[in-house]
Amino acid sequence: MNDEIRRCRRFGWTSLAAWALFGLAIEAAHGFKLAAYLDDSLRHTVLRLAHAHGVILALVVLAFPATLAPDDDERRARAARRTGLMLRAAALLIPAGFALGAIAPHEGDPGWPVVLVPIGGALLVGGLIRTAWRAWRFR
Amino acid sequence: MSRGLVALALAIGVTAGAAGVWAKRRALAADLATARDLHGAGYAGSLACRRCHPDHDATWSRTFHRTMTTEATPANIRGDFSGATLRHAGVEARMDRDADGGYRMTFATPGAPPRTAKVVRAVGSRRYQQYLAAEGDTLWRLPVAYHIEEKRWFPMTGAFLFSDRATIDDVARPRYGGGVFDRHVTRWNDNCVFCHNVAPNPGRDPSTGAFQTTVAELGIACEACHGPGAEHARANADPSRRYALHLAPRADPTIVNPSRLPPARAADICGRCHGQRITADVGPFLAHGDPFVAGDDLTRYSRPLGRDTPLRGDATAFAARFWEDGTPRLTAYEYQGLLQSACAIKGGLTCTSCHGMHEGDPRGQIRAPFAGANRAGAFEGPTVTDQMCTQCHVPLAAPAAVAAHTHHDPAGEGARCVGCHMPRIVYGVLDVHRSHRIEIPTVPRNDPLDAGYGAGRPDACTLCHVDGLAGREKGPHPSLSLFTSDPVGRAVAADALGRAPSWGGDERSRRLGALLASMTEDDFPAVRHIAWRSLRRLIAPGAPPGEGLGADFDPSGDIPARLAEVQRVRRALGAAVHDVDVRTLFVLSAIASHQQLEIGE
Repeated sequence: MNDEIRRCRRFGWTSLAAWALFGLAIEAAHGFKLAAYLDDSLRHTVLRLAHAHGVILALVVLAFPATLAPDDDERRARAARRTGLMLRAAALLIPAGFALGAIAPHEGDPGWPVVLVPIGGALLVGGLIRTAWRAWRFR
Repeated sequence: MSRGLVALALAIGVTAGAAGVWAKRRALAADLATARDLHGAGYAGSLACRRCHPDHDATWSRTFHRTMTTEATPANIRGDFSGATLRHAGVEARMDRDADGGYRMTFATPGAPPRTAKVVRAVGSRRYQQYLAAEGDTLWRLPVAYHIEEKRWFPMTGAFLFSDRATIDDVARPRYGGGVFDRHVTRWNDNCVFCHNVAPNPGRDPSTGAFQTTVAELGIACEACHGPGAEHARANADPSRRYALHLAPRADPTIVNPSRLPPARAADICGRCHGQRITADVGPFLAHGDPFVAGDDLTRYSRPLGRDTPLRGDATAFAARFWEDGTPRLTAYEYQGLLQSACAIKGGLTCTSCHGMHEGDPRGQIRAPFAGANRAGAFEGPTVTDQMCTQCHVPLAAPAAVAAHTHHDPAGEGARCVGCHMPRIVYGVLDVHRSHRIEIPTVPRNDPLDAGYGAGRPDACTLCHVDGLAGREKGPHPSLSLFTSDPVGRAVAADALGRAPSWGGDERSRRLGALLASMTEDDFPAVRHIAWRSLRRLIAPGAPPGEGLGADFDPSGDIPARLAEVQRVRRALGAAVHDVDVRTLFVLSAIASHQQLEIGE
C-alpha cells in the first residue's frame, strides 16, 4: 500500500509542478502577447484546457491515497493499485491530449493527438467510479 | 475475476474495437468516394458553418458580401433616420423612426396625401445603402438611398446613368413620391433578389403573378460559393469523418471548395452575380429560382450578356453597356471582362487569382499579398501591387524590366501594371472602376467611331495624360471627352481628371475649370457626382464629408442650387481656375450623347 501512496505522491506533485509551470508559460504568452498563442482561438482554448485539466487531475491523484486503508487485504490493495493506475493514466493522457492537440490544429478541430483525451476521459471516469465504489463498499 | 477472464475480455474488446475501426474506415472511404449532386440539396446557413469554420466565418463576416442584404435592424441600418429630409423633383422625403423604433420614409408631394413606407430590409453597406418596403407579397426598392461615405441622402435617380430630363416609364410600381422621383422604384422579388442572396427563388406563380419569394440566407453567405451545405454539416458532425478528412486531405463530396475547381468553374461562381446574364426562358428562374449551384458550368443555364446579345430580336439592346470593342463599361460585367482576357484564356487566370473571399481589405478584397498602400477615403481599398501580375509574369518583377517594359519610372504610378492593363473605364455605383478585361493597351486608341469625339473607348494613356499625349495625334482624351462623350464616357473622363497626376503649367487650372463646368452643365446627376468628387480630390484631398471647399455641392440638386455652390467654389479658387470657354462648351456639348442606360434591372 505504501508503494501506491508513494507512486501517487510522486506522480501528483511532479504533474502539479509541470502543469503549474505550463500555466506560467501561457501566462507569459499573454504577457508578451505571443501571436501564436493569442491569435488562434482554438489553440488558445486547448492550451488552457491542458493547463486546467493537468492541475486538477494532479490534485485528484494526490487525493487518491486518502481513500486507501492500511488494513486492506491483498485483493483490495490490487484493486486500489489498478484504480490508481487508471487515475494517473487519465491525469497524463487528458492534459497531454489537449496540449499536443494544439500542435497543427485544423480550423475548428484540434490536431489528432486530441484523441488521447477521450481515452483518458474513459480511464478517469472508470477510476472515479471505482474510487466511489470503494468509498461506499469499504469502511 | 481470474486473470484468464480479464485477458479474454480485453482480447474481445480489442478485437471488437479493431473491427469497428476497420468498418468505419471502409464506410468513410466509400462515403468520401461517392460524388453528390448538390442540386436540390438543403441549405444549412452560415451559423452552422461557423461551428467548424470559425476563422472562415470571421473573415467572411468582415466583407460587404455578408451585409449585401440585411433586415432593417439598428445593427444593419447605415442611413440617418433621425428626421433627415431630402427634396427632389417636387417631393420631400423624410426619414425617421416610428413609435416602435422601426425605420420609415414619408414622401410628401404637393396636391397628394403623404405616403409612408416602413423599411423592412436594406441592400448594400459599402458605398450606399438602399431600402426595401413591403407591398403585399412583394418588396420594393424605395426611391431614396443613403450615401455612406458622403453621409447624406440622395434620390436613386442620381445613382443611375439617367438624365435630369428622364421621364417615367410604363412599369407598374407603387407610388411613393410619384412621377420621375419613383423611376427607380424596383421590385426586389424578381430583380435584386438574384444577386444579393443565397439560393434566391422569386417563387412567382406564372398563372397569378403572385410571389412567394424565398432565400436560403440574406446576403452573400457561405453557400453562395460553396453550394448547399446541409448534408456537409450533418455528415461532419461525426468527428471520425472530420479527422479522416484532416489526416488525408481530400475533397469532401458534400461541399464545393472553389479552390479545387478548374479556373473557369471557379470564375462561374463569381460570374453568377458579377457577370450579367440572359437566359432563353426566364419563366423557370422566376418560378423556381436560379438553378446554378457552385461548381456548375454557368452556361448550362444562361449566357453572359455581350454587346451584340439580342433581346427579342433587337441586337442593340445591350450595346450601350459595352465599349465599341465589346469591353464592358458597367460594373457587374467583370466576368465578361475576365472571359475576354488573354490571362484567363491562355493563362488560367480566375477571380481568386487576385481576389480573396477570406482575406485582404473588404474594399476590393484584393488578396493580402497583393495589397499596397491605403488610400484616402472610405470607398477606396488599398492600391494593388505589381506582384498581382508578376506572380505569373515573373520576368517583369525586376525594376529594370519594368522600366524597359513601361517606358515610365519603375517606381512611379505610370509603371504600375493595372494602370495600363486594367484602366478605369467602367461605371458603377457612382464610381469609376478598373476594367477587368486585362489587355495590352493601344496608344492612343483613335477609334473610327470616335472621330466625332463620340462614345469611343478611352485609352489607358490619356486617362493619366488627360490633355492627350504630346507629339501624338490627339485622340479622345478626358479634357474633351468630359463634354463630348456619352454618359459613361463623360463619367470616365470626370474620374480621370480627378485621379491623374498634375502635369504642371496651367493644366491643373484647366482641369478645375472643366470639372466645374461639368458640375454645372452636365444633365446627368451621376456624371456631375463624379466630376464633383474629382474636384474634391484636387481642391480638398482627404477632407471628411461635409467639410472643406465644395462640400455642400449636391449633384442631384436643382440648377440654381448647383450654380450657387459652383460659383462659391469658383470665387474661392480665383485665378487657379481656367474656365471653359462658353462657346467651346456649347459646340462640344452638342456632340455629346445623352442616351440613358438601363443597368440591369
